[in-house]
Order: sequence, then C-alpha cells, then structure tokens
Amino acid sequence: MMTFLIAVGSLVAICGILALLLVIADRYLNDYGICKLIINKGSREEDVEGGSTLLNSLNSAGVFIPSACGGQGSCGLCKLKVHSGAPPVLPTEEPHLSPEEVSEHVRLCCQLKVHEDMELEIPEELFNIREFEGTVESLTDLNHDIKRLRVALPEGEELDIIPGQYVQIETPAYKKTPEPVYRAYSIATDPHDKTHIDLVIRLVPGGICTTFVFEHMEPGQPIKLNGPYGDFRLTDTEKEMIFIAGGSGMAPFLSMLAHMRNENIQRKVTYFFGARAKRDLICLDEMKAFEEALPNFKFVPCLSEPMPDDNWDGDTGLVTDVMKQHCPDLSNMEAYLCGSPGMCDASVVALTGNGMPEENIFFDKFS
Amino acid sequence: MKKNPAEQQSRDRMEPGALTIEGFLGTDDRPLADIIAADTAEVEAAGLTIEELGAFLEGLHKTADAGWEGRVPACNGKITVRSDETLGQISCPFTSCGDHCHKAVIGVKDAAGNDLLEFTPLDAHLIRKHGFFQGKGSPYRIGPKKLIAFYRFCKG
Repeated sequence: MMTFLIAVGSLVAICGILALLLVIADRYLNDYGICKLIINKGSREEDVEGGSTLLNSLNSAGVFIPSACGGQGSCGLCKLKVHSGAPPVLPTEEPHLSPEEVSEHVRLCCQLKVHEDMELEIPEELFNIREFEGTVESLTDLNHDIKRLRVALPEGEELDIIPGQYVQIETPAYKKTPEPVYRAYSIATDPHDKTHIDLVIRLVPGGICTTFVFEHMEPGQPIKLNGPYGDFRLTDTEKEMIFIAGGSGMAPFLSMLAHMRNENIQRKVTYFFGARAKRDLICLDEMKAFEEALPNFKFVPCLSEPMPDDNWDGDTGLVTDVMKQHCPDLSNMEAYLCGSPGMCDASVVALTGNGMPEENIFFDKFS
Repeated sequence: MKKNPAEQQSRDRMEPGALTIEGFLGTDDRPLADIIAADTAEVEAAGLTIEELGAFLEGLHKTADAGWEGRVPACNGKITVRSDETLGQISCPFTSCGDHCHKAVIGVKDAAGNDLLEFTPLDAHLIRKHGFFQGKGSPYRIGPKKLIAFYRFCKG
C-alpha cells in the first residue's frame, strides 16, 4: 500500500514540476521584450512591447492605421509595407493580398504580431490621424433602429474632416465581450463644426458595438475615437451627381450636403434613399432644409413596401428603378454610393447600363 | 473528444462576445466536427449537398442586394427577398478560412407575403464552405430540415 502511495505521490510531484516548468517556459519564451519599429527608413522609430499585433503596437505608439473591422482581418484596409521582422504571409492575410502586393512586402498589420524589430513603410498622411477621448453629448433616435451619436471632442481640440471620411470608435469591454473592440462609422458632421463628431448608427442584430451604443451608452460617457480616415469624397468637377444610400448609409451624404451648403456649391444633385416603409425614413427635416438651401438638390425617398397607413404618394419600388425613371441619361453624371459591395455592384450595373462611365462611380470602400 | 488547436481557436471565436454578442454555438457543447458531421449527414440523406444549399442562400443574398432595401422577386416569383443592410463586415469564425461577409439580414417571404426564412450572408457562407449550420440554440441556426424544406419549396 505504501509503495502504491509513494508511486502516486511521485507521479503527482513530477506532473506538478513539469507544469511549473511549462508555465515558466511560456513566460520567458513568449516574452519578446521591447521591439523597435523602424518607420520610413529610420525617419521615425518607436519602441513597443513585443507580443501584440502590429496594428495595436502602432496604435499604442500614436500611429493610427485605417482599419474598419477593428483588427478582425476582414476589411483588408490596414495594409503596410513590412520590409523585415515579419513571418511569411499568413492564411488570414492571403484573401486580401494580390501577388504584386505580396512581392512588394505588403502585409495586413492587424494579423502580424511583433516578435522582433521591424522595418516598415507608412504613408506620411497617416501620421495626421489622431486619437481623442471625447464625451457622448447626445444620442438621438432617428427611427426605430437608427440613432445619431453626437460626440464632443475634448476642450480645445479640433478635427478637420473631408466630407465622406470615417472614424473608428472604441467599444469598451462589457458583458460577454472581454476586450475593447473598434468599429468604423462614416462621419455625418457639418465640416464647419470642428469640435463634434456625428455618427449615424444602425442596430446590428448581435453586433457588439451597436448593441453597446443602443443599450449601454448614455450622454456624458467618455468615448474613444480615432481618425479621420478614407478617400471617399466629392470630386472637383461640375458634373451633375446622384447619391444612392439607404439606412445609415446616409451619414457621409449629410456631411457632403452640409459642405455644399457652406461653400455655396451649386452642382445639381439628386439623392435616392431606399427604405421599406415610412417608419424607416430618417432625417426628413434635414433633407428639406438642404433642399431649401441648395436649389439644385432634390431628395427622392422611395419605399419598397409602404404600409397602408403610410398614405405614401412618393416613389415606390427599387431605388435603381426609380433612379432610372428620374435620370434616363446618365452619360455625363457622377454617382456616389454608400452601401454593401453587393448593392454597389448592382448599382454599377444599373448606372453603366444607362450610360454612366464606370470611372464616374464612387463608393465608400469601408462599407 | 480531444480538440485540435485549430478547432479550439475557431471555437473560441464562436463563443459569445468574440465576434458577436451571442456567438455561434448556442447551448451545443459537441465538438465542431460532430456538429458538422451530424448536419451534413442529414443533408446528404436528403440527396443534397451543403454546397448546393449554401450557394442557394448566397444567390438569394446577391438577388436581394440589387434592391437596396427593396423587396425583389426570386425563384420565378415564388418568393421575394429583401436585404436589411448595416455597414461593415464580419469575419468567418473558422480561423483557417480568412473569408468575411457583409453584415445584413436577408428576409424571405412567399408570394402571399408570409415570412419563410431569415438568414445572414455569414450563415450562407458557413453552410456552403464549412457545412456548419451553427450549434443548437444559436439564434441564427437554420437546421438542415428547415433549410431542405425551404430549398425544395423554392426549386420545386
């Protein structure tokens, strides 16, 4: 009996020692220490704690790289050239990188971990992107599933935006979400107002960030955001324009129309807004105000399934069909779209089918 | 059953709070391979494949996208489809995949206007590419039986 107990005891002791060794080894082998990020041939160097993703390491060093998905590897926006210190291309990067990009050392920095010194190339304009800790000033219902979030920047801070750009906001850890997550939203702010950021947010069923905004966010709360990002913007031409968006896709157009009003831009523009029923429409008063301020602007809401008590006498049907009825010849016009890639693809077919050159069609790539 | 590291990583991404609030597993504690095998067997017993079913849903999403929130007829008018879109994308929870899908809910009605099915683009992808209908109790699980009946209604 004693022999058996000694054997069991010895086995337990050996297992315990091995487990301890594993813990110690893990602690030291996975401790990458301080790593150096050598940016643009040494014009800037940052010391960062090894072990985190390159995206987060750069964020902690105050360098914000565009990322619309919060580092999930789904948007493919956080591309940088990494000349040394990176492993071979990872499976999660492959769908986003062309063979040319791979040969030029382009990488997805949300997927790379910093384990040693790295040499990087970062476009200079990205150094202008900043992070703010603002305050939720108001949260307004625009309809049953869309809210306008208004954030006041810290006292004394200002942000210059180009209408069409977007910011990322941080959702803190809450409920079952163990760590902060970032999501991108188009800026809806009048660009003259440099001390606020307005966002139009639609509730995503099961969405981590939007559930937080709808169920847990309150005026007065602090909120972190960084930006501005993106190259979706109005061209400098005088061409007549079409805007197409539904739901929260209205955000960039609110900012663009405010810019046109501020700068007295008189380009002709028709905005086709697709919705199911009257309850899904948003910002009707603002659109009316824009129509009064901009004589060449027309807002065309179109409902696909108006309810009987909507008493709707406006356009009905699909946005693209309504657009064709209003604008039979698109050959000398431009189109701006804010929707999913599938919606944009369908619109490109409809627009080019009515004579619009493909190079005159612009859409928000982050969506 | 022992889980391999890749399965464990995928499973971690399916937990509540990782990619979505509710996650993809519901109350199902079976290994992923067992969940997939059981559902795939049910599909094959019906003489169909997971690729057929998933691709069918992906096609309906593509049709719905053309409507920009409007309802679009599909399958020779037997059904109509509409996509409620929100901006942004979501990654596939399978770590070896690297694909991502747009965030949307596709609603399907029959010709009389009765609700038949709701699914997301990620549901369609998970079924077609991974044979994963999600765990039992997951809010977005569409069981094989329901999907097969829907498919036959549309195709029949």
